[in-house]
Amino acid sequence: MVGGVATGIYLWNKPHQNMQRATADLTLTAAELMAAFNTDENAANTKYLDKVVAVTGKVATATTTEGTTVVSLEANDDFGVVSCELDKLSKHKRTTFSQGEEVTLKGVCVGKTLDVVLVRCVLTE
Amino acid sequence: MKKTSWIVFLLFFATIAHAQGKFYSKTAAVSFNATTPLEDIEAQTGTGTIVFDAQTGKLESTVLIKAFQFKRALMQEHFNENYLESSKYPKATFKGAITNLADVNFKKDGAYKVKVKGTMELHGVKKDMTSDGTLTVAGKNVKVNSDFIVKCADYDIKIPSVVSDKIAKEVKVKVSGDLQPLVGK
Repeated sequence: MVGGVATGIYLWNKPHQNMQRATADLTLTAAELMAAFNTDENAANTKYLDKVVAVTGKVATATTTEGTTVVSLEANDDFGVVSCELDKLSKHKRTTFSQGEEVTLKGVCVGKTLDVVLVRCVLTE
Repeated sequence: MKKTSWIVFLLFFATIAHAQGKFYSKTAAVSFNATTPLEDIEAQTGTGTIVFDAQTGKLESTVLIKAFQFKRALMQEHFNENYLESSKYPKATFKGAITNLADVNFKKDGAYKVKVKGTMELHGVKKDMTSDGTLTVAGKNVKVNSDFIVKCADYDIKIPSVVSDKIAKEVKVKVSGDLQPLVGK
């Protein structure tokens, strides 16, 4: 009984995954990730959804709206980029990026709209 | 070309450079609230996409279900795994149009009340819907805002009876995006 309540309280207050400490399940370039989704979206969903993915690419844009920063990485696609929403629960060394600089961002892949989207991203050095 | 014709030429382009054509945003803010007196339930994402055609009024929006961030990890897990089944249905989409496009003057900055009608697909269920919104013209850009209600039952979202008092059956959704002109590459 006590154990059940304790487990319940633990689960209820279970913290979100610590993204700074998370190890990447998969590491690849922004172009490779985009190509995987363009080739077979269902297969890519199976492989990448909910996984911590480290993506390397050149910064196309970085915009902050209402406290949310989204960094987009060029992905060798006509319209789509790899869009990385920075994690709100992590402390970031910086939230400004220059266009064209190469960065590696680590985050959770949530699928593709026009862009492949990663949320809870942190910069890896 | 003579000086005067250059001026006419530039004036012409200055006019057509004002908001018209196609617009998009890939960083639209989408949030929802299913709060009841028993529980605060809110989630948001800044990764929604909106594409809008000012010529025809057509509007399309997509958001990834797994992109929604909750305060509580457990709530986020239940939302994805049990209620929205986001691995099976990763996206929510809206396809429709502004039905009173004539009320919007894209050449004049300002906020215009618009009516939107279309089909929303959520949790694998398609349903017709209408919503009110605001379209704001600001120079070359267009901002859109809309608030609407989603009924869980309409989209076959099943809430177990144990927690059904804690989760609102009518969920308030907010969408807002700063759209920029789509320039062909």
